[in-house]
Order: sequence, then structure tokens, then C-alpha cells
Amino acid sequence: MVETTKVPEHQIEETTGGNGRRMEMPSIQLDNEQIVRSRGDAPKKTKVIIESKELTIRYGPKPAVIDVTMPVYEHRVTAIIGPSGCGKSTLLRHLNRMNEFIEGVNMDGELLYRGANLYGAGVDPVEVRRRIGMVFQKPNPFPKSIFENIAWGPRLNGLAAKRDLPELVEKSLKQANLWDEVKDRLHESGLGLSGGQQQRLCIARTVAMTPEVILMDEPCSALDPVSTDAIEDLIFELKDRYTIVIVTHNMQQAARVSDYTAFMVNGELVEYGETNQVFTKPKKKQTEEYVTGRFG
Amino acid sequence: MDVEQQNTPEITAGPRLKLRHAKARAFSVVCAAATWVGVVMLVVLLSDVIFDSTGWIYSRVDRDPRMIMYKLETDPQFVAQVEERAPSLLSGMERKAKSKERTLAKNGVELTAAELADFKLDYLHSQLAKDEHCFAALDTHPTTRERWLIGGTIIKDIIATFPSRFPTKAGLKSALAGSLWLIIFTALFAIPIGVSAAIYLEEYAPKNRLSRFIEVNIANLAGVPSIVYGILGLAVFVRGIHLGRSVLAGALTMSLLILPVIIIAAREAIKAVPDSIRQGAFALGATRWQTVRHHVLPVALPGILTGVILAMSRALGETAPMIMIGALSYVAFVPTGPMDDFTVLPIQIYNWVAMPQREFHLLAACGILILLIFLLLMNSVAIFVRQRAQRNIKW
Ligand SMILES: Nc1ncnc2c1ncn2[C@@H]1O[C@H](COP(=O)(O)OP(=O)(O)OP(=O)(O)O)[C@@H](O)[C@H]1O
Ligand SMILES: [Mg+2]
Repeated sequence: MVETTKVPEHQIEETTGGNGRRMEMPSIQLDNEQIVRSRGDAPKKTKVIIESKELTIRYGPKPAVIDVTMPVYEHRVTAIIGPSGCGKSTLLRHLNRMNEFIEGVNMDGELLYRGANLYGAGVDPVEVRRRIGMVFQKPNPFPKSIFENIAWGPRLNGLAAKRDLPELVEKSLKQANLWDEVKDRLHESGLGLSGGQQQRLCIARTVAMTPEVILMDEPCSALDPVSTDAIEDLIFELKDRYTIVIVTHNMQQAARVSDYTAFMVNGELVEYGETNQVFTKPKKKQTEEYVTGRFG
Repeated sequence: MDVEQQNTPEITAGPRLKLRHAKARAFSVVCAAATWVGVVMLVVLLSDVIFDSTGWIYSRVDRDPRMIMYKLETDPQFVAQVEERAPSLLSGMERKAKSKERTLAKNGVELTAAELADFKLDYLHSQLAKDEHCFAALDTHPTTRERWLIGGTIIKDIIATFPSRFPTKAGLKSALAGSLWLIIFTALFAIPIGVSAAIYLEEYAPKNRLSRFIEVNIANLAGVPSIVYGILGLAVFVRGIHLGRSVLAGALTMSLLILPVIIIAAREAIKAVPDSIRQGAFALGATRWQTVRHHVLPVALPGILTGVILAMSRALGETAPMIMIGALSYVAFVPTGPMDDFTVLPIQIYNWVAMPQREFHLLAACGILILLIFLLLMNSVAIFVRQRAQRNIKW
């Protein structure tokens, strides 16, 4: 489990935490650089789980992602940042083949999942999506009970016997920090929850499938600071068991939660590196301007 | 304080805003008026039907033209009475028959006595339909009240009896049974095919030129006059595959007729299901069918059922295609299988309305009431299904 430490402001500069350490930060007074530096050392290298190689994605003739080569490390959080319309969502959706539901999408290059081509012959997209789950920008619980929302996926995929479902639901809701809030209303509609609770329900639903990777597309963009905080906490906790790729517009969020950061502009990957480095010593001027808020 | 007085803002409506308010008010008045016109018309229609369906049916056998003809030929006393009360009727009959005979004789056609009698009967028929006075002239027997039509009687009496040429005995047992058979078989064909087609077109079919072409043509088919479907049914089902004038042929024709309506309504309902629900399901490793079955269909069901109700109501009320495929008007038995002859409620009602005797009009009004009750029951079934299916849907 992750250990949570309250760090008084004056100590932040000196604190060196391990990678898994979460700092509660009065973020308003801090700039991104401070946040990042406070997280200390570079993340320990792990295995590459997903790797895109010279990946180009087009909507019809129009490219949305151009020649992107980057790894995603196992049990690490990778953030994708960049100005609106630069292809973040397109890239993310490509990682679990959700792009296939959009008419006219085509690709060049390779996308490897544990070394195997995700788009290779014989790869079943349904199985891909079971292993690589996704949380969307707008909370989208099913118009069913909270219990059903979570139990549906595992039941569908035969991951749990009927009698184990209640336990699984409880476990997933606990992992998503939602259990205490909904344990008395499991059979009420998932849509009766607040926006932040709905988003956590969607995360619980994804977690219940025990995927290997969780993709999150701006999961906090519709949420208030408190819910955002709850979800960021959650990401920290989930990191132990899952690999997370998160798209965000919030620089502080990227700085706080991620281990690696990819910065995109106009479909191209401008910079990729450890979050620490991208935020404190960016190699490109464009990156520096963006993370400090002067560009974008 | 000084500052407060200075800053008192002007928040009353200016002339432009006043005009906008006036327009808004006018529009809402128009809409309310339209609604009320609709409501009033419905109430008038319904009360008219109920009013028309209430009354005594007298036992006046002699109002049957054939009966009258028979009596004119056999009962001299009756002839004398008619001659006294409505002299023009008998002479008119003779004149009509004579003139027909003459014109045909010119062309070298000889008429038999039976054919001559038929012409006389035709004339009598038309006079009876035109002229209430004729009835009085023909009225010989004291009238006896035999049937009081309303309420329980409708159910017990009309439903339980077969059609007859005597209004005192006529009922619509066979028509009701025929409609029931027809509706059941139509639903059996049209609902699964229509909903499946809608699912395919919305969820599976690639959005290319062919699917757009199909889309446009389905919309066009929904506007084709029903008689055309009747002709098609006659050619294909009755004659082509030799189903005859059976319930099955009727149901297949009706299915063709209402398929476009069901497909269009179901497609709209499926289209209205937010895409985010599908995405959420897919992201959990669901197949297309699982997504459709567990999320799209339940959410779309109310819309689909609305379309189904509309379509089935239409199938219940359509007369033209049924006449075309030869759903008989006089059926004195209840169909026992899909290959039996049949007739349907609207045809029976139509036949009653076309009868000269007033009593049949009363029966027709009762028939309309029964048709409405039938519709209501059918719709409640749909509402029940909808409620059941929605137990798991929680908005
Ligand atoms: N379904 C689509 N069809 C055609 N073009 C699309 C589609 N979705 C996205 N695009 C285009 O692809 C480009 C990248 O879009 P994408 O949604 O990936 O951007 P994004 O980085 O996620 O932006 P945002 O931060 O605003 O969400 C944009 O130019 C967009 O117009
Ligand atoms: Mg996006």
C-alpha cells in the first residue's frame, strides 16, 4: 500500500521520496517544477508493456498522430500532455483499439503489447480491451444499478462466479475509494451519483476487470478539486497493480501523478521523458513554454 | 449612501424585450390552442361513437330487401299495402326492370326471370338506402325490441355471435378472431424482422452509399399507399406462393406494410442511445452483440415499443390491403389455423356501415368501440412489456 505523508511547505525542497510516495501538497502555492522536484528520484525502470513505433494515425487522409515512437512502462503512470486537438485522445484510443469504432481510421507503424503486435492478425480486439481498460473524459456509468455497473463486465467475461460477484463489487469499489459512499445504495442507479462519484464508479468498473493497463482520457476534467484529489489519490494506489496512461490538460496533475510524460503538439511527439526531467529540464523550448504555461 | 443611489440600475423591460415577451406569449397560446383542438376533436369522436353505438335494435325482418322481394311475390296483402303507402316504389321497380330489359334486348340479350328479379332487388336496395319513407311504407309487423347495445351487451352479444343479415343476430365473432390471428402473426413476422433490421443498419452496417440508399428507400416505403401492399400481397402471397386468402397471406402482407414503420422507429430509438454507453461497454471487453443486448436495446426499448404500437395499430385498422387480398366479409366460422379464411374488424365494420338498415349502423358503431378496446388492450400489453424490461434500467 502507498504511504501518505503530510509534508509542510517549508520541507518540500528537502524531501526526497521514493517513487510510490504520495505528497499532500497545497498545490496553489507551488509551481510545477516544485511539485516535480518534491517527488524526488527518477522512477525505477520497469519492463516496457506497450510500445508504439513510428505510429501514424489518420482520420481518412488527415493525420492526427504523426510518427510517434514511445514506450509505456509497466506499473508506472505515463501522462500525455499537449494543446487541444494535438492527438492525445486519438493516440490513447489507439492503445486499446477503441479507434476501430470510428469510421475511416487507419494507421501506419507498429503498436506492440508485451512485444506482440496489437494490430496483428489473430489479435482479438475484444480481448485487447479486456486487458487494456479505459476511463473516459465524461463519466459514463451504465443506466443500471451501481452493483450492475461493476458486475456486468466480469460476469460477461466469465471472470467471476455469480456468488463471488458481491465480493468482487465490494473490492473494486474499495479500490476506487467509493465503497463507503455507496455501500448502502448499491442497487440504486449509478447515474444518481455525483460527477466525481460517477467517475470513480467508472474506474471501479474498469478495475473489476483486472486489466493490465488502464487508459484514462482526462478523467478529472469534469470534476471539482475535491473529486480530482480523490481520483489522483486513486491513481497513486492503483499504480502498484496496474499500468496507467493518462491524458490531462492539468499540468499540475501530470506533474503530481505521472512518472513519465509525453508532450505532443500537432500530432507529433515533441518530447518524451521522465516527468522530473520534462518538467524541470525540458530539452525543447516548446516543452518548457508549455509546461510553464507560456504556450498552448 | 451616495454611491447606492447613483447605481440604481434600470431593470424594467425595454420595447424590444416587451416585443419578445409578446411573441413568446402568442406562440404559447397558439400551441395550447392546437392541443385543445386536438383534445376536443378526440372527445367529440369518442362520444359520437359511444352515442351511435347505443340504442335498440328492432326485429324488423322485412327491412331485408330479399325478404321484401319474397313477400312482394308471395303476399298480395303486403303488395296492396305498399301500393297504397309508397306507390312510386313498385312502379319504379317495374320501370327499372323494363328499361334494363329493353336496352339489353336491343343488344340481343335475353334476361331470365331471376336476373330480372335481381335488377328489381338492386333498385329496392338503393331506394331503401336513400329514403327512410320507404321503410315506413314497408313496415307491417309490430316492432319488437330485441337488442340493447351498450356495455356488457357489446362484449357478450356481438363478440359471441357470427355475422348475419339480420341485425338482431349479427355479431363480429369471426372478425374479432380474424383480427386477433392476423395481429399475432403480423407481430410474429414484423417485430423480429423490423427490430433486427434496425439493429443491423444502426450497429453493424458500414455507413456507405449502399446503406444510405437502403435507408432512403425504407423511408419511402413507409409512405407507399396501403392498397399497393394489398396488390403485392395478392400477387406474391395469395397467388404466387399459393397461400390463398389465408390468415398467413394477410399477416405477411400486413408485415410488409408495417415493416418500414417499425424499422424507422427502432432505428431512431437506437440512434438516440448515447454513444458513451456503447464505448463504456466496449472498453470492458464486450462484444458488439453483448453491448447491444445489455445496454442499447434496454435503453432503446421504449422508443422501439412506441414504434411497434403505432405499427400494430395501423395493421389492426388497415382495410384496403385486406380487401385486396380477399379477406372475406362473410365468414361464419372462427379461423383455427394460419391457413384458414378470415375477415377482420375494419372490414366487418365497413360492411355494416354500407348496409341500408339503420340497425347495422348501430352495430358498426359498436364494432368501432370494440376495435378501440382491442387497440387499448394491445397497447397495454406493450406498456407492460416496457415496464418489465425497464426494471433493470435505472436512469
Ligand atoms: N472522429 C474523428 N474524425 C475525424 N477527425 C477527428 C476525429 N476525432 C478527432 N479528430 C481530429 O484528430 C485530431 C486530434 O484529435 P484528438 O481528439 O485526438 O485531440 P486531443 O489531443 O484529444 O484534444 P483535446 O485535448 O481537445 O481532447 C484533431 O484535429 C481532430 O479534429
Ligand atoms: Mg481528447
